Amino acid sequence: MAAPENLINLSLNAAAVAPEGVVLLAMLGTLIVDLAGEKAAAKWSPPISYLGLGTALILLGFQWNGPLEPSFLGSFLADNLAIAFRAVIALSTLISLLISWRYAEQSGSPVGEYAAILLAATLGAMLLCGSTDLVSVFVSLETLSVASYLLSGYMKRDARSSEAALKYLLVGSAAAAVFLYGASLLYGISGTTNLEAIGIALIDSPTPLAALALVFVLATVAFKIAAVPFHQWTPDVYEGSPTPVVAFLSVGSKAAGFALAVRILIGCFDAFDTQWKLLFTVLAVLSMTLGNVVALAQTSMKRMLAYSSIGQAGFVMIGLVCGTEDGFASMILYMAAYLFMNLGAFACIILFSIRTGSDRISDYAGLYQKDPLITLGLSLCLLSLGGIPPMIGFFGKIYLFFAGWADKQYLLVVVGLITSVISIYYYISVIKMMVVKEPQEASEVVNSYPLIQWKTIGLPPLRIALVTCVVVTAVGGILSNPLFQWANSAVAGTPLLQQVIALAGERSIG
Amino acid sequence: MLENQSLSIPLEAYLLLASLLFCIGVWGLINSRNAVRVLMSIELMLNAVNINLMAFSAYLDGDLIRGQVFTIFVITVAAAEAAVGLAILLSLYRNRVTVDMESFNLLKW
Amino acid sequence: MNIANSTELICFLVLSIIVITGSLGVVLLSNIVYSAFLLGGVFMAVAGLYLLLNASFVAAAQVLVYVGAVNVLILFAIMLVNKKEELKPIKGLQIRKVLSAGVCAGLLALLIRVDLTTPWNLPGPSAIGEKATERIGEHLFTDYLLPFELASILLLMAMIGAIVLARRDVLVNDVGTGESVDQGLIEKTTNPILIDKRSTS
Repeated sequence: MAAPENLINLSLNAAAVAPEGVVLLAMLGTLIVDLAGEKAAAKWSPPISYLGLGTALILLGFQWNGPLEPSFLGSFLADNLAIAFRAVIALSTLISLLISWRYAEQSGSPVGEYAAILLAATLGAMLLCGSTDLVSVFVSLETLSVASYLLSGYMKRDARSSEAALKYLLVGSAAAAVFLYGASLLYGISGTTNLEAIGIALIDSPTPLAALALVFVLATVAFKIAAVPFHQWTPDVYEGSPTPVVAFLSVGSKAAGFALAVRILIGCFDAFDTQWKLLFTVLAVLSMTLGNVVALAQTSMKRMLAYSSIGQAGFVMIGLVCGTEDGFASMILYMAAYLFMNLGAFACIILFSIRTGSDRISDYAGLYQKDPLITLGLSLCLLSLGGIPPMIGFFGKIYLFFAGWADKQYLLVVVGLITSVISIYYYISVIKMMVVKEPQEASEVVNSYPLIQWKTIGLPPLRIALVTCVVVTAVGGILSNPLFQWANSAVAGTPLLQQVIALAGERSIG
Repeated sequence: MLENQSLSIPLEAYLLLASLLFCIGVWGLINSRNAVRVLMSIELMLNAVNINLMAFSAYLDGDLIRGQVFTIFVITVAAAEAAVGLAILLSLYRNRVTVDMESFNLLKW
Repeated sequence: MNIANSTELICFLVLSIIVITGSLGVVLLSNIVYSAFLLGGVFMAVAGLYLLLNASFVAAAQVLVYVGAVNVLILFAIMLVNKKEELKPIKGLQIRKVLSAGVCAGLLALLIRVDLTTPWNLPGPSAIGEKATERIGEHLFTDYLLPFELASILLLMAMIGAIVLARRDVLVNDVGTGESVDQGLIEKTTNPILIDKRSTS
């Protein structure tokens, strides 16, 4: 890179972050209307954030397959991979916000600031997906993390929420410090903070240093995507945080973690791909096994979904380990599918807890009598998470396993298949609880179920989100061809991935 | 004279100091029972990273000093993190009236 | 070795000793207030190291932000949560400490090995010296513009969030229904939590 004097005349190419700019405007807008009081915030924050996120999604659509130029002098790159992940994140925030309002209002939390912090988290996560420089990676990662800590402690009169936030903060900051130590070593060996330049410098660098930096950086990535053994925070944070925040953390934050994994491991540690693939294989096997097995024993719905999300992250890692065209495409496809099925499930359990104030699995007994919508929606989403045809999750999972098998990752695929079967068991047991129980076996909570009404402010958006997610989950599987094409063109439009795929092809021939 | 500046101390001396500080921070992170002390340990770890960055910046990147810029970002973010951490700690203290890490067990690990 | 070099070496040694003993004190002393003041000392000593490395701007930032803001914030937090608290003794705590010390020593050995065996790209380009501040400004408005702008958003968000969490607000009504609420999770626990409500009353 040239000295800064020569860079001043170069164009910033700032249009690449236009979607983030719109999200930022929405964040400022919600803060401004919040000045007018809680009533005004409850009325105006939702439309402003929908407008911002919707516009961001449209702008992302326009960027698709656009000319690729690094923007901000090499800090950011809006390739198709980044666009796909940013779209997943923006969409997950949009849906999380739709299902948040009623929850936040019913708990008496300030709504305007909630939306603003969630939008700031989105901003950080979206920028993280396209960052190609250690400094921007670090700052955007921390924006996402700090916002997440604040959100998980948002129910400030609840000891569980504060405790979850404190644990998340301490573990997260420690992970950030470890990441920084790794980053400082990378800077030391390469003399630059640009990921691509570091990757070139690492090709002929000494192994101990690179291995140490790899382990340090990988630990942070694994922390962000909650892979075993860096998962301990997940169940606690998921149980103690407000449920809509959990919905965002389990999809948006995780998608950002995977984007970071691709950027750093493939963009920077490509010279060490056998090492990181081995480590990631171990992480994936552990995540799938532990996540799905421990989920069996849970009595709280949120905790069960926490462990299930650990297992799901293990499945997605199969695609990353493959490093083939199909592998990356299946990873993106599964993230998109996971977005809808997981948020659909969260919409259902949020609605249930708004109406009953409970999230214990046993309290769902006999629910189909009282609330067919939740029963149907939750059943479909859980079946999809378990990978039952013809839901969208089935096709996503099959594609992942197919890609893994084609790349001879037999261990991963076999473990994936076995743990999928285990996961189906606990998903089905929830459905059984809701559907099969006789009316006299219904739980107390269900017996005293309130009358279903959708009039209260905040409930209509929740219904829209629920129905949308469930419909996409149910029908998306059959009509998944556009999704496949989208995922494949995301990989095709990303030079970074194409380079790796070509290299892998050469290696296997030679 | 200018080239000789700061070269009388080997780069490795700074790196060793940073490693030691980092490990002390890690130990404090694991063993502190007071939540405020855990936050302090994290600050120690971040300072270790900063020493690393500054040393690399001075010895290996003398004309572009990207490490110094990185350090400024780390300092900024650390300040924000500390503020948020203490806000969360205060709200937890109001609910629980303790800062003992061992008693934060409403949520099982 | 001339006088300038040996002065530098002595400064470095003194500062390192302050950093190491200070940080050991931070993690080992039983009185948290002493720890906080020692932490301030460590921050100052680290700023001194930056001065040795010809980075006066970063040293100033270190003093202003770490000592002036972070450390004062920590002291405030200690004062706000300062209650004489008898820590319940925990079985095996000493063993745990020794074990983790072993783990940390292992980590230290690993880090030291990497520090010493890696052939760093020495000597690098000559130092920029007094023009460093100017160069930092150039960086912040050219290749690090994106993180610079994002950091401002991060600070804004952290400020708002910290205020929201730390203030005692009177708003306890559901905006939609007007019912009173308790700012807790909607999902109530089945087993009641033993919360000491004395401070919230």
